[in-house]
Amino acid sequence: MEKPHLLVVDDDEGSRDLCSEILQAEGFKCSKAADASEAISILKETEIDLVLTDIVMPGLSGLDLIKQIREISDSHVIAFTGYIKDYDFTMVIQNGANDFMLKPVHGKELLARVKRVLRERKFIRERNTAYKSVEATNRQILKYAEDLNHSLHQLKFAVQDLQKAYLETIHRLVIAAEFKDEDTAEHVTRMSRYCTVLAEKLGLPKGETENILYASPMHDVGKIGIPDSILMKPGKLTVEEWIIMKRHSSIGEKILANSDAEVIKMGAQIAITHHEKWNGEGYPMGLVGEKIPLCGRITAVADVFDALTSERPYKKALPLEKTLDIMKEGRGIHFDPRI
Amino acid sequence: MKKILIVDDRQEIRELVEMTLRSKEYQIFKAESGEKALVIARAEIPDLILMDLEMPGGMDGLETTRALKSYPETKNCPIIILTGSTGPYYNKTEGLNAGATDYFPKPFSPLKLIKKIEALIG
Repeated sequence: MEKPHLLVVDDDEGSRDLCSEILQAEGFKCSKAADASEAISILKETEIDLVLTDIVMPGLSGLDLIKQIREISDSHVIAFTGYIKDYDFTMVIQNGANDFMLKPVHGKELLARVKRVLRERKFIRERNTAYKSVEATNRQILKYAEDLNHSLHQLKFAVQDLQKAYLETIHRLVIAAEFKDEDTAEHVTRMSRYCTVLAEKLGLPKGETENILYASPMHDVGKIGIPDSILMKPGKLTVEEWIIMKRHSSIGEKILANSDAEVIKMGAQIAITHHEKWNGEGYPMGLVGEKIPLCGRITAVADVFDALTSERPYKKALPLEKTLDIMKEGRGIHFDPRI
Repeated sequence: MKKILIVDDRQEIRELVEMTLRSKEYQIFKAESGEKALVIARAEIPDLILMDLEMPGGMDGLETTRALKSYPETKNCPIIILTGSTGPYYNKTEGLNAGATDYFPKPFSPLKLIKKIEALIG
């Protein structure tokens, strides 16, 4: 810290000089003023750490000077007076002084009080600096929070866009895979909606339901591996042709196998199990009851329901009631009775 | 790996900026004074220097910037000034005149700082 700069204000020249000599001898930088107005002009131009002022002076009094100092500077003030009856410590402190002394001033007392007030000043300044620094850091942290918030929003949108794009890609690939089959884009969409409704009714968690929505359309992707002659054959399939046709389940699973994405994993599971039957007479593995994954059981119901209610080149669409009758008959045989 | 030198007298700001820039692409150096900054800069030849202006008790940021621009090994190193937006050190013209490439008043936006750095050194 630099040498503290003090200002002695006293109309009595002898006392003023004595004071400033004592202070300079102690190593302080010291300016002098003969009255309040001179003191104020010095304070306006120079940074003063501590003002020592007489109270009773011609012109503005020392107490008036303190009031003015408080408006233009943050200097500390020690007031002194010889008129002991007129001024007491409490009153002078209330007027804004940091300390009070009686005249005549004694060197030792003067230095002790000056040093005490300067120490107080140092503490206050350090505290203010630290406070400002904390405030600045807080403002900077707020800026970080603001940017973090912004980034998170952007990230969310980016993820949403990406998810939309990849789900759409799945949808379009599914359509491409079934392009030659009688199944249409509408079938795929309907299927996936039926599955979702069933999943919701069964009380599956939201994430699972969403996975079924996007995974169920993949149930027949394996048909891409079935020869056109079988896939597009107008008449009934022979036993040998059926054996080949049934391979679409495992081909579908192979296409979708070993993914880390939950949707694709479920797609693989649905592909391999959507032709399994509750009574174990389905294919390819002949799984029974709850050995068939739930998503496969759901897809089986939706798939049959859509096949029955849809028109095909070789058949008309069944009315809803008739369809429901057939579906009910399949309970516990083809389908999970709960679904 | 690009080298970035952070010069700021305040530890929390040095750490905040370091954390902001920490990545596989950047090697971060820190200095708490202009004097230290000169030593590190001349030894490491950073690709970028982030410079605080107000550093009490020694060389301030402007002096350090001018010194860096006077040494042949560091004179081409881009310097971004990061400084308080109030007070005697808020002086963009002087900062740019001293040779700084850009000037960010504090509190700065970390996103904008990152963008600026990516634009400058990749």
